Amino acid sequence: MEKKRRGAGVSASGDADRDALQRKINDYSDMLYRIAFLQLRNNQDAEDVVQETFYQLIKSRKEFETQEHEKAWLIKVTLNGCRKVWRSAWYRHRDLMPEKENAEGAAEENGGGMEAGVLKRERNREIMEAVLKLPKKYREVIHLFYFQQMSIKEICDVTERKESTVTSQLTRGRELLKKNLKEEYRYE
Amino acid sequence: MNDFKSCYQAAVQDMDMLGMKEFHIDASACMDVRNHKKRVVKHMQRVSAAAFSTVCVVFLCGFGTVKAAEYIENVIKVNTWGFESADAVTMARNEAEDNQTFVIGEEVAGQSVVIGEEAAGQSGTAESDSTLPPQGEVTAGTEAMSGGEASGVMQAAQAEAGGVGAAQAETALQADSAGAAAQAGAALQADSAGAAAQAGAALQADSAGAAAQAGAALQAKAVGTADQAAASGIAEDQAAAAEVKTEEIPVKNYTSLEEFEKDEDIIFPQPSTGIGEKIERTEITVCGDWAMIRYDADGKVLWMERTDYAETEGHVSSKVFPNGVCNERSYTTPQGYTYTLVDSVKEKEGDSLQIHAAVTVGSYEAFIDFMGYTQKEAELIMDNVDLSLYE
Repeated sequence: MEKKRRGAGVSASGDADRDALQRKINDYSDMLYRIAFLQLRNNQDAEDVVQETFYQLIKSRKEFETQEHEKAWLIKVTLNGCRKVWRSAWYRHRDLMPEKENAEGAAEENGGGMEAGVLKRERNREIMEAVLKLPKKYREVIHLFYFQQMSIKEICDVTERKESTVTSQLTRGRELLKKNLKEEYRYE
Repeated sequence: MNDFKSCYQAAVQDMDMLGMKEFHIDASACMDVRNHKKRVVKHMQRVSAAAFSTVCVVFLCGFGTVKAAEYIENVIKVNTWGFESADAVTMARNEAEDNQTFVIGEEVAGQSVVIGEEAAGQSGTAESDSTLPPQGEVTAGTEAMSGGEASGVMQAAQAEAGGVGAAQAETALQADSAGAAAQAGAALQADSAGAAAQAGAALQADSAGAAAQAGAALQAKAVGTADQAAASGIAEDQAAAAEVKTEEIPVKNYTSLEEFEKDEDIIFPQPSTGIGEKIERTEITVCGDWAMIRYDADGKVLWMERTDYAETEGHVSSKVFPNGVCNERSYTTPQGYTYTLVDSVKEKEGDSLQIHAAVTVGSYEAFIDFMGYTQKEAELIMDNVDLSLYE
């Protein structure tokens, strides 16, 4: 049985490979999952995309020059996985707005009676909702720029878009956020 | 003013408020090919579901378009007494209503229908068919063929009353005798309150030379529910009592095809061959959207009529033969148009064969009567009519 399971794995090189992969999973899975969830707004799809990303990592046996390079590759594969899901009409016809009830429940549980905490969570929610309302192409760029703190050039590499395209998408994304958010922010 | 970057990073870290669950995977799960295959299968299922939905939508749209196109077209049905034609919607509605109707007798001899001078003396066969929709709308079609020295055509008698209480009646009358043509056109329009009535009557008298036929039979049939019949009676009374307005439908007669083609701009394809060796006489009558042509050749008569229903929102008409029809069969012309042929039931064994054809193309309906022609000749004539002109 054990033999069969091992045989089913992509890599049969043993525990070393598995440990190396586990380390990468620990390092990147949370980041990739957040990216995927932000793009797909669905836990199950985001999980599938992240698992598929790591599967591709094992399968390709890619050697990376730097850790940044590896991170960029994983983000790229994750975003491509998300696009693959978007492309299906199935995904497009589903209601993908965040589960508000759960979100409110979580806010009550975690926020408790602390007014500052409640206000902070309310602001976080407003920001996330505003970002989630953005068209996918703007959302992707905004997230990579502000959360992953990637430069325009890095975003170009990851998304395979031209620099001018990324710049204009970032500008338009910011404009939309300004329009959608009640509070004013510094966007630099 | 807060910095968006820091606020956004805090918001992303706090994403569980949006319903994001904690995510844990281990290396073995990622390395397992079976998990990968499951994900591939899941993706394929979604893709196939989407593809199937697309195919279904395309199919349903196509099917709907075809059905809609069918509904626009006319339908010709063969009954024991002749042809019944209507647009598909009216035909379907009438068929549905047939289940809850019964037949009552009504004499139509008293109807003030004026036929040609000579034809008036002849007794023909008339059949009136009334279908009464539940809204109190009455549609009646009367068509008769009588033998004699005259041919008379009376078509389109409609009385209509809307829900507000307007009733209209139109009657177009034409009588044509062998020597001199007598025409009469009369249109009635009346307003009445409360009831709706629509009546269409068509009367056709035909003779072929000296072979005079005397049909003494008079048939009348009215179909409707008891309430509807009562409603129709009230409506007709009110229509008769109401103010009468006259509107004439111009009737034109021609004695040659050339003359007709020169003066009229209507589509009426004629057979290119097969009518007979020598056409002795040609009579053409045009009345609104209705036109007929009669050829007398070699002791045989070919009668063709066509009606264009493009301008109507719905119609019902019937063509009735004195002794009824039999041997319904369908043929397709080389152009791909399917027409229906029926034979008149012979009154006596020695009577000549009468074949009747009906075809509908686009908004047009065409009826062709072959008197004295054989089946082969009738088919040849039908094959040589360019029905594509009606498209």
